[in-house]
Amino acid sequence: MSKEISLTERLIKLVDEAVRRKEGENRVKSTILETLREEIERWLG
Amino acid sequence: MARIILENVGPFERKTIELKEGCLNIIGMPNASGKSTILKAIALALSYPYTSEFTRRAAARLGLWAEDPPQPMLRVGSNKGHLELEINGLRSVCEITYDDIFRKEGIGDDRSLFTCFASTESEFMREIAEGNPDLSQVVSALSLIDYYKRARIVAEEILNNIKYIHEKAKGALESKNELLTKKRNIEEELEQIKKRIEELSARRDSLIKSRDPKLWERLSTLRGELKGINGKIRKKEEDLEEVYKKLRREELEKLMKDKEKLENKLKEIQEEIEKLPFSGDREEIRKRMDVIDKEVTRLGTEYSKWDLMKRLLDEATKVIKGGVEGCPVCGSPTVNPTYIERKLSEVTSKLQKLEREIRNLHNEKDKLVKALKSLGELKNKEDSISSELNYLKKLIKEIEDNAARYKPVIESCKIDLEELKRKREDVLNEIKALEMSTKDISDELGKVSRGLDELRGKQGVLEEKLNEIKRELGSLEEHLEIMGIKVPAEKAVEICPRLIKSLEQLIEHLTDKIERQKADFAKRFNDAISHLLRDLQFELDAMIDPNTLELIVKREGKIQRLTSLSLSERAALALLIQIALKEAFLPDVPIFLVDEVILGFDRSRVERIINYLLEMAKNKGMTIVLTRLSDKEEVRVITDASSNFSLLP
Repeated sequence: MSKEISLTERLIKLVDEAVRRKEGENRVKSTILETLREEIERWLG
Repeated sequence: MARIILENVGPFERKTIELKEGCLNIIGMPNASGKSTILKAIALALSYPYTSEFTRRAAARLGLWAEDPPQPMLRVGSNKGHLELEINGLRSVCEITYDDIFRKEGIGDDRSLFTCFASTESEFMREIAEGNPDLSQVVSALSLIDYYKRARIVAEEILNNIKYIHEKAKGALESKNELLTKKRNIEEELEQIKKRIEELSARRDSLIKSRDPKLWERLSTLRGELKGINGKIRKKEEDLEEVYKKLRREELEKLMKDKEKLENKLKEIQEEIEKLPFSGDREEIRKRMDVIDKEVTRLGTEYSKWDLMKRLLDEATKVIKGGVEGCPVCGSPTVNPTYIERKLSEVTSKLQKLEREIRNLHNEKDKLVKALKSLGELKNKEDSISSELNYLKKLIKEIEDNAARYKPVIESCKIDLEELKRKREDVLNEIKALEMSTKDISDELGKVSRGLDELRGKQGVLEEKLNEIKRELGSLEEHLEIMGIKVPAEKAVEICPRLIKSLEQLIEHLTDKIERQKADFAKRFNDAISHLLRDLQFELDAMIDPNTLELIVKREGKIQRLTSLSLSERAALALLIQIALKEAFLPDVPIFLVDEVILGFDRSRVERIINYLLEMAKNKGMTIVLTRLSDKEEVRVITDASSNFSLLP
């Protein structure tokens, strides 16, 4: 449960930051994908 | 004091304009002398660089910046322009080249384009003036709504992708589970078969042990012997076959047939010869021909004699008829006509007979000549066939001589075979007798062996199926890819819902952000515009709808269509919206530019707006720059209203 919250929080934080910096779609996309990849890798151990 | 320095910008090679801070600065230069360029240069210094597509487009439409060279603010014929703005401690320096613009000092804020610069060239102001209430583009430029929307679209795309992978993983897992169930069932079945095989094997061993050893030993020996005898018989039969091959039977048969044909032909020829005169005896034929020749000669002579006689008789007949004296035949002085006639008849008859005989002899000779010719041909044929026949006979003799040589071998083989077959018969009889005495055990052993064979067959089929399932499982265990990472289906099924949940929460958050941004924008803008309209005693109320992002205008509490307002009202409203946006969103930027917008306003409205701008400049220490106040009346309004202005240059 804590992992889920942590992932959501991280995603929200990173996307908010990207929006605040007025980053383009590609940058936002790679930010989200990178975060998800980290999560998958951590989860797979 | 504020200052703007332009080098190689617009029409100016070099121009410095001093602006009074906290004051209304009126640029009263003549037409086409660069008033708008000065305001645009200030706007560029405040707003560059342009971070979004929307602001880039707006700057291009205002003629501040171009995506493709040349840059519009660069003086024609110059390589590099310079732009310097100093105001209220804010310093901004930009350099303009043919291709691009470079910021040297200060920080630009592209929102300035929509808040600090009221221009008749601005698309937004033009849209309002034309009665279009849609403010969504301005909202996009002054808020992060568009960015949040784009981020939401990206998150939704990724979410859909993960949902798709999740479904795929679930499908793969279901297939895998089905295969695993099948695999388990087959393994269980195989286990049972294995047990049954063990049981039957044990039974077979016990049956074998229970047999009378001597009897089984004898049976086993006899079976071995039988096997040996069968082998020998096969071998002898093969040997015999081999010998028969050496006898060239087929060849002999063919030769015999050919011989028979030739003999028949020869017989036919001989029969034909037999049919010829004198049975084809050449000598006899020739002899007969000689006889014929002689006879013909003799008959010819006789014929000549009788022919002479006939001629004499013919003469005698002439004498009788012509009165000739004396008989030409007998010399008698009297001619006896009766005698002559009789004699002539005899002679003529004799001659005819001779003619027939001679003709017959000629015919016979012709036949004999033909027979001789045929005989020659037939004899040639006979010789040729006889020669061929002799050759065949020679070949046949050779083969027969050869066969005669193998005859003892064949005989010996046949005897051996008969002997072996007799032996086999004896052994078989003995085996039968022995089997009869061990029938019960043999039958059960047979049953057990058949059962074992059957089970082993089934075991093979099931093992093949099991291998197939294992192969399928292997191919299913190929990993799925999530964000480029290979993940097994079991893991994907577990992790996808977590990712989906987080992404859904992110999307929810972004939606919330968008709504908040809209609401916040509406609140700030609506507060500012309503305050402004109230201060200026405008007869209208204006506000933005946070949902549609459209401008709502009310007169005496009733919603009005923007197009129902007068042109002057709409132009004034556009300027007030611009001022409201400035106060709501960029109140700290100490400058406000108004390019030609006030032209055409009615006097009372101009007075109120100018007074408001003067108050703004004074109270907030803001530098306000206006152009196109060429109308003396308007200038008088300003000078009457306050001394807080500066007339440039």
